[in-house]
Amino acid sequence: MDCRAFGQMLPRYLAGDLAEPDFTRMVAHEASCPACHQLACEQMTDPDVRSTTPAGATGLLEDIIQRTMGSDCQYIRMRLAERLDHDLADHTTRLVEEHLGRCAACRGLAETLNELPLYYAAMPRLLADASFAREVMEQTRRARPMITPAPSAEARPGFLEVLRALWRKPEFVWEGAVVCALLIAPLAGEAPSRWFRSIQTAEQARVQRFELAAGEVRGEVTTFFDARRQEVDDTVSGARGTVASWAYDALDRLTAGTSVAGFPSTLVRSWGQRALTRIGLEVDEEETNPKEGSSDMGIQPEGDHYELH
Amino acid sequence: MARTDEALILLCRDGDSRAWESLIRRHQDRILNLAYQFTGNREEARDVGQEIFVRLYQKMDQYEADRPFRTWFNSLARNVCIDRYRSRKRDRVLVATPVDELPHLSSNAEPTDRRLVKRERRELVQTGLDHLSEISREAIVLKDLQGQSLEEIGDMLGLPIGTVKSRIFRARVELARAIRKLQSGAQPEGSNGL
Repeated sequence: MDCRAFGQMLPRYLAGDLAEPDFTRMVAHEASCPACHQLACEQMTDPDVRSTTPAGATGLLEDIIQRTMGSDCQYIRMRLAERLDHDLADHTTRLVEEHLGRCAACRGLAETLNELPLYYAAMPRLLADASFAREVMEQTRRARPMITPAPSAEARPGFLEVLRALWRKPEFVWEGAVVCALLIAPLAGEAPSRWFRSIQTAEQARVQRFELAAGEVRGEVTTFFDARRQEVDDTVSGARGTVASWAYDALDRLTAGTSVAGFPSTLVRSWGQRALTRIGLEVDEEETNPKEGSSDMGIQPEGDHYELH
Repeated sequence: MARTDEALILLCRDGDSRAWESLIRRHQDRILNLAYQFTGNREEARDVGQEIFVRLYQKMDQYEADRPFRTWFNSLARNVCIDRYRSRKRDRVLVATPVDELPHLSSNAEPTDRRLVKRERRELVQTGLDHLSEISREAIVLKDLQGQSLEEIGDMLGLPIGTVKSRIFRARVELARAIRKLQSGAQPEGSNGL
């Protein structure tokens, strides 16, 4: 197809009246010839050409719109685009439908416009991977070091990072866990209470065993010390008796005027008195004190007058 | 309770690195997709996405606490994408891929597999977006792909709602026409791609 043939068939082409294979040839020629493409674009938007509108088909309303708003195709196409957001007013809808009924170009465009949401849905939806935020953190740390590096910003992905994310980011995790636990507990029936009872019983048994063992030990200790106390008492009593016999002997010697191992009798007597006092015996002073004027060696005993208290 | 973006960004300004990491992880997917929709290239989208967060980090002191963080951040992200868009545009001249060389773009092809259909649609819309003007591509990305409201877009671009609507409708028509031309084997006009 050459440019001349293209120009001849252009009105029918724009009006959508062109049948195959001419239509495909026109499309191919327009794609390969910038001049013809430009011509087609101009004619499509030029209100004066408006070859797509059959003569006499323009109504009063469209005539007003054309005079005030330019090409009715332009107006209709804007309404078609608007229709994606919301329904048009009734009279506008009627106008659009009337126009589409006789304008193949706008009708084809309307189909594509209506399918735009499908095209949008075909666009890929990207998801940032784990390294995206980490790289941003690295870049911003260099850019402005006033922000202290977070431990999570370190390049240590894996278990710790997941834990940190659970702890920090999804703020509802812990609340959700509590709610889930409360919801699951009734479903578990008697199991939780049995579990708690078993723990309680085991604890009580352990306490009882401890108390029993403690009582046995306490009894043994008491028995041990009771026996030892008797032995100590016996020992002390024996010692007291020995010491007392020593003291009595010393007193006897004193009262007999006998010196002990060459020590003066007064000194030996004081020792005897002190020893008797220590072991709880009291000595009659009258009986043990030497008489005035007597020498150490000249003490005369006047009798065995001492007694135990 | 999850902290709001506004609370997190204030913590970030106080030097809380955990808040900063939380903020990144909360928005990383959305920002990555925004960058991809502007660039049409996965690798470059990753670079642009990270650049957006670095820019946020550098400018967080400029955030005003009485303003919604999301709107402010979207505006910042869009500026980074546009900057990259323009620099790329200067660096290279788009050579449109001949339609015949695009896989599964032949108008005679009748893919029976849904995956093939989806793939064909994806390639058509990506090629179509590459042929839109900067303004039209931005309108499609923000409204139709990112799902932002007219008010958010108007606030971000500093435009009245009517103008935003007009841009969006015109962009849809341009994209539909580009797709139809690609389907028919023709080369879309006005190659303004990245």
